[in-house]
Amino acid sequence: MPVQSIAADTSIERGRTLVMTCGGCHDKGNRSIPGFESLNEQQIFATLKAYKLDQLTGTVMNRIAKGYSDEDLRLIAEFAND
Amino acid sequence: MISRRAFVRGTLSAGLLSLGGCMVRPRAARVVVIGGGFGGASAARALKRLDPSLEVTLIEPKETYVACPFSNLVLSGDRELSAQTFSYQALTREGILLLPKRALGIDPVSRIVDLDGATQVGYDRLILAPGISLNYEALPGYSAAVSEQLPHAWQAGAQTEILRSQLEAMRNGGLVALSIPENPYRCPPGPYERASLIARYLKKHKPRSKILLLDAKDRFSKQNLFKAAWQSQFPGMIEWQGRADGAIVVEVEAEPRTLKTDFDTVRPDVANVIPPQRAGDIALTSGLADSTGWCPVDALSFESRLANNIHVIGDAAILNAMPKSAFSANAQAKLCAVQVVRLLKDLAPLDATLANTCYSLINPDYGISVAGVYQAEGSRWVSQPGAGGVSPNNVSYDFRRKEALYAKDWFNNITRQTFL
Repeated sequence: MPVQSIAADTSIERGRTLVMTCGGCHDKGNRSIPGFESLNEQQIFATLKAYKLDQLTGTVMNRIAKGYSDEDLRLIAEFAND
Repeated sequence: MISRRAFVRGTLSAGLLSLGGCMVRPRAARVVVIGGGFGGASAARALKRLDPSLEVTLIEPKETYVACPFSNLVLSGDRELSAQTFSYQALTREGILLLPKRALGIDPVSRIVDLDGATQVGYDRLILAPGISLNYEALPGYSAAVSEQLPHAWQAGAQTEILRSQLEAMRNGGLVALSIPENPYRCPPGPYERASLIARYLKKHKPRSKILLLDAKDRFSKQNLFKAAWQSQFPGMIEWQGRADGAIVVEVEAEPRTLKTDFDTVRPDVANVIPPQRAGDIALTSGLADSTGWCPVDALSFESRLANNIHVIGDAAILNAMPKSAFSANAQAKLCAVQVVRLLKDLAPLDATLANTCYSLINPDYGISVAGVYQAEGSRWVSQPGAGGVSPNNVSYDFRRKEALYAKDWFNNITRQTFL
C-alpha cells in the first residue's frame, strides 16, 4: 500500500477521533454551548485559531485551544460536521 | 502482537455464552466491556458505532446508573436524585448485549470473564471500566456498615440520600464535617463543590451552622477560586484545614459521630467521610492493579501493563495527568474504542490528543472550571504546556453564570451521549 494513503487514512481517523473528544461538550441540542452545526469548516477553524491566539475571549475555549497544533485545529474543523 | 493467532485462539475458546458454530467461517470479534458508568457505557456505544459488526457485551449488575456529577445539587435541595438516574435501555436498542451480572474474575490467558451464577463470557478484547472501590481498610473505624451513619456519598445513590436526610434533620447551628483524602481519588474538586452546595442549603435553612473541611492535602483543585467564592457567597461559614494544620483524619467512629485527627477529636452533627479509594473490586481481584491500588496501562492504547488484550479506562486506570472525572472517562472511552477497533484489525494505536473540563458549582448560577489538554508521551499522558488551567480569578458575575450554564449543558450532553 502506498505510504501516502496510509498517512491520509490516519489523518481522517485522527480528525474524527479529535472531534469525538470535542463532542463531550459540543453536540446538537445544547442550550448554551454552541454546537458545530451552525458553522462551516472555515468558520470553525478561524474561531478555534482566534481562541488559541486570545483574539477571541471565551470561558474555557482559550485554555483548550492552546493545547492543539494548528494542524489538529484544521482536522477538527474539517471533521466537526462530518 | 495480537493479530491472527489471537483471533484463532479467540475462536477456539468461543462457545460459552456465544453461539459457537462453524469454526471455518469468520465470526464477529467479541468485545466485552465491564462496568456501565461514563467510561464503560460510552465505550460500548462508541464500539458499536465505529464497527456495527462487532459483538459488544456490557456487563453491569445494576439496573440503573446514578451519576455522580451534579449529585451535589441533590444535597443542596436543587435537584432530585431521579434526575441523576439512567437506564441502559438505549444501549440494548443499539444492539449492545447487556449482561446484568457481576463480574467475579478474569482469566486473561483463556480470555474468559467469570460471572455470578456460574456463567462465563469469552472475549477477543476486554475493556474494563469498574470505577472506584472505597478503601475502607485505609481508614480505621470506617466500613460499609459505618458508612450508613457517616455517609461517603462518593458513589451516588442511596448514600447521597442518607447525607441529604442527615443535613435536613440537623439543627440550625450544627456542624457538618467533611473528611477528604489524599490524591488520587475520584473527582478532585468534588469535595469543595460539595462544601459549597451544602453551604448554600445551610445558609438558606440553617444559617448559624458551620462546615469544617478536614483535608489530607495542603493544596486542592481550584483552591483560590473556591476560597474566594466561599468568602463572597458564604462568609464565615466554611473552614478548611489541611495537612499542615494536622487535619488528616486517622480514625472515625459512628456512635457518637467522631472524626479523629492526630491532634484533635471532632464531634460533628453530620460527618461526610470521603475515604481513600482504589480501582473497582474486579480490577483488584483479577490482578490488574499494582501496589498503588490502581491499574497501570499503556498510554495510547489503554492496554493493561499486567495483562494482554485488556484495556482499562476511567477512574480505575493510572492515566497520569488526566484527572479521575466523568469527562475524562468519556473521552478515554471514545479513544479506547477507536484503538480496540484498530487493534482487532492489526493496526497500531492511533496517536491522539485528549481533553478534560471539570466544572464545579458554587451555586446553580455560579460555575468555575478546570481544563486540560493531554498528549501521550511515551508511556504517560502529560498536560500540554501552556494549555488548560482554571477559570480566571477576577471576572464578572456573568462569566461565572456562563460557566454554570455550560456545566448544565455538559451534564445533559454527556448523559445523553452515554445513556439516552
